[in-house]
Amino acid sequence: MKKLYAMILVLSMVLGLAACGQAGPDAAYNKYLSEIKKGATTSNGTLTVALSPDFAPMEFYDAAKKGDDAIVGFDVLLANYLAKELGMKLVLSPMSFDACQAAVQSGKVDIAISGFSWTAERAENYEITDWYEAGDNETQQSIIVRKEDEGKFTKPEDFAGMKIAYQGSSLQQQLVTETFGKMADVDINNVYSEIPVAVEALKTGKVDAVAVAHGNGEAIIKSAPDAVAFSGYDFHVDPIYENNVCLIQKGNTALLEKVNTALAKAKEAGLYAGWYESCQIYSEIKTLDELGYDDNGNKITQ
Amino acid sequence: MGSTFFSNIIKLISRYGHVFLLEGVVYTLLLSLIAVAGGSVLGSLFALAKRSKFIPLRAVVSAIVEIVRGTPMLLQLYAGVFIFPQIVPALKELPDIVSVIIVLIINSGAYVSEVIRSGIQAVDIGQTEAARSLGLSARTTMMSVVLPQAVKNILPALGNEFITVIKETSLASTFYVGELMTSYLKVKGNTFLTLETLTIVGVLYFVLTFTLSKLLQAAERKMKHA
Repeated sequence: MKKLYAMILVLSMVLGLAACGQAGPDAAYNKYLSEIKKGATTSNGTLTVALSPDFAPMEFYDAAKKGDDAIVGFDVLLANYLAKELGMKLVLSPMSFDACQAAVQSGKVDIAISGFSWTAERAENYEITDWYEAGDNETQQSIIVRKEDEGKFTKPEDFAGMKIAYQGSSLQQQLVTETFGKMADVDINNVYSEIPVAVEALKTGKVDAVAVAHGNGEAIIKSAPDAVAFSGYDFHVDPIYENNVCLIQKGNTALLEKVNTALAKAKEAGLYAGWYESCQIYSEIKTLDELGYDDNGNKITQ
Repeated sequence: MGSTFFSNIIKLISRYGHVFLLEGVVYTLLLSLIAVAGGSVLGSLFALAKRSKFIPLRAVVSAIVEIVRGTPMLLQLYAGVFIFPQIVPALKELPDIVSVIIVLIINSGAYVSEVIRSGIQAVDIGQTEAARSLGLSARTTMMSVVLPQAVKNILPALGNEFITVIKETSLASTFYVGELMTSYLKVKGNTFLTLETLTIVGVLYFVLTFTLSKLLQAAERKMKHA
């Protein structure tokens, strides 16, 4: 019985520790979010958004928050912005990346905003919005390797004899296939359902490299700086893939037009850069300091 | 591996302990409990329907049971959340977690109906023959002679179904309903510490199922003496 009490005590201490965090890295993010939400109306119904929150800094979970507020990231700011511009109430619907596409197709949700890139196949089966730009997350597509191979690569031929992994049905899959598909000495049959699992395969030596969006790569390296690093090689990215898009059910052009109008407005106002910075800080890729913010999350302007 | 592995686990527990325990474990237990309770009721109805003399009912229920048993659970979840709402628009308004629970109940019901069927069949046919020759009606034979004996066969298998369902609820994490595997997705997405998070979740699943199987064993022992 004593042992049981001791265990309960330890457990409650652990939970207690978890509860009292320090002034969070979410200061800048919260500023942008409340700015967006200011004066929002919900007279035009609800906007349900599918997203796969396992992809920091684009969308991820803040375990300290509750309910819908716990889902945070660049795409969440964008979703809030779109809902406000459309005068709709935002409902976030988290699910796996594959399920996001099924959700749009079946009409279960209105729109999927989850770091999607434009691809020809997607354009055939969905209405695709105009692009939005999340910092350098998509414009730069990189390959990460184990720490000992850091920076050793400059061209595709340098990967001879290596196993390259990527997430299934992603832009990276397309880039890897285009770049390495014709090279017989590069093994590209390493598809993973989730990037973190591919990273684990990299750490344990099952594969030698993982293709990632650059921003995502920064988050991965931040979590294991002793184990993984950038290879030094970046993909040549066709401008059409450089940015993210949202998916809408085929035929729903009314919503497509409204969303495109809102996206144009956000781009015009130059909102994306600040949003992305706040999410980099939030997911602890960068500090407030590094990106020129004060401790309260205000951008310091010279 | 090595020392960083364990220090990472401690870090994860201290930072995300509430996600695993207050969300993950609670939701996993709730989902499985609802699924098994609902599944037992539905499974009994299925089992009755399959013994019915009304052929269309028997055919429909047999079809449902065979389809559920013959397709992967993940596919059934996708069907429940995405495909059926297209056929029955009223389902569109249901939150994902409700659709998931309905699928779990139907899935569990199909398996439970088979458990009940085999439980009834395991009662020696001589019991029925004796009861019928003593002049008991078919209904009384079933209710007073066969079923009380069948329950003893059925209960342990129901316990196993509970344990299976606990593990099967992990598939519901595709829709982020909050059970243990969803906790894994949430924490791994933030930290990129996949193996550490999986270890924590694995231990918790084992604690749940092991405790349950021990409780069931104790219950079974009691029943033997009853």
